[in-house]
Amino acid sequence: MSPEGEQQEEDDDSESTPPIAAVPVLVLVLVACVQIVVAHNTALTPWKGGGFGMFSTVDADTRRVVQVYLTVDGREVPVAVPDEFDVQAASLRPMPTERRTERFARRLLEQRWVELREHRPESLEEIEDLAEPAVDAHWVLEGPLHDAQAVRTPQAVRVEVWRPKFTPRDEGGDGVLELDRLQSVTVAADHFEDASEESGEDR
Amino acid sequence: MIDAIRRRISSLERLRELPVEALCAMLTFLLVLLWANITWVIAFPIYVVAVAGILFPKLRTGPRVWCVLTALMALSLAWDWHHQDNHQFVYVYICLALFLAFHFEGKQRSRVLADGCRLLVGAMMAFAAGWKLMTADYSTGAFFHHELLVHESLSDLAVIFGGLSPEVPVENAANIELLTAGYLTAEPVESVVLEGTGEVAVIAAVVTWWTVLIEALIAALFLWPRRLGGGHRYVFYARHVALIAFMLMTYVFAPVIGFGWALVVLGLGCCAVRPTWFRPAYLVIVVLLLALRFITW
Repeated sequence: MSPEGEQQEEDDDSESTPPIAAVPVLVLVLVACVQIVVAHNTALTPWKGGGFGMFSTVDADTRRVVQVYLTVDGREVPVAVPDEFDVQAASLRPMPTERRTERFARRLLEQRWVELREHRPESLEEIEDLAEPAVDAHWVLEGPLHDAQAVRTPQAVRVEVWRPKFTPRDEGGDGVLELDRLQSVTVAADHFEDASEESGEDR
Repeated sequence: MIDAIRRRISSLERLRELPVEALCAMLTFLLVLLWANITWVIAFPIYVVAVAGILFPKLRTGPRVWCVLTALMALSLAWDWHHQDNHQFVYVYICLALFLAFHFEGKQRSRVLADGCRLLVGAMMAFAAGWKLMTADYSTGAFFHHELLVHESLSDLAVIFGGLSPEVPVENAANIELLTAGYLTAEPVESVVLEGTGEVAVIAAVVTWWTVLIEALIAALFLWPRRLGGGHRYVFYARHVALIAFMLMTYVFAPVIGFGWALVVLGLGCCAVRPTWFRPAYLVIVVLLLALRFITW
């Protein structure tokens, strides 16, 4: 092909484009830079917030775990997040700030709970036998059929948010998955002053 | 006979000249309606604008319509930005690019749209590759290793090519359940072992570096300045071939259809200046994405 022909084949938009065309990308760069800073300095998952960190880490919000502990009659018991609070728990996971976690804990503290069973599962084997071990909490929110005598209002609620951490083993292709505590907030009912604490060791 | 073939070819040639601006507008309205995660408070006006844009052709290229849609989408995003996936942000950037382009007429409009879309694709890919490179989870291969052992679609890859028994991903998922729900038992678990094979580790390394390389390549091609030869037709071809290859390979395993759709709009927008076969190719990809969505359902 002659040089002239090749020149004609080149992009015919050699005229200048109005600089305004760069505005969307400038907004993108600004938002993405802010997201990177925020994700490195807070509990924001890299998957969210417009920085394009999806598929870069196992620490996706959907893999984060929210754990709830009630203090009832002087003893602390773990409970599964009630179905009614699934949405709030899901909204906590991407960026569990102390304030959001505390608000979530306070909502749980305001609920009335019932102990459905006398005993907790004693082993992993026992929980494996249950159809849905993750939601089979022994303390559940009060329902219309529950015995009013068994209803309790917790003295305190502790909410913890954990993120997954995966370490491949050097040989064999296996890997170890563990949870790393991102945040822990306790809200007490006595004087409604939260005894909140952010986990310093993990973040 | 030959004349009939020529006529058929000639009619196919017209596909190269599909109206990019109108198509981008239409696809974006559909994108907003189908895949945008909109805060319910302002969902109604957004849907009204999008439906009106689809029903009334004159509105499709009206800058005021796009100004309103951009503002509403941005407001919805700002409402709960930390919950939003990256492609939800991209929808707003696309609306903004269309708003700016529709301020102009003729060639200037095509140029503003093409350059706006080109820079957006380049920047998105640059940030995606950057995040991966600066995250230890990714650069050590741990991320894809983990996904190959537990992810619904990616574990198929591990089963087919990595010698992983089909039961293993199910067992791994059960182990994860024990880890996350174990605190409800008297014997909480601190860690679990996810079973894999040596081949899975190799596949993880290959997928890890392939992904970051293709993203970096797309970023380089789309951000290549015109004054340094970025306007050459071979660069143009390379851009679209790389982007289409990325979409075809990525969305089979990670069917994030909203992101794929957004990339189609951006890729199509990049073709605004010159007639090209990539215009119909992007429309075919939309159909494939929809088909893939129904298959994975």
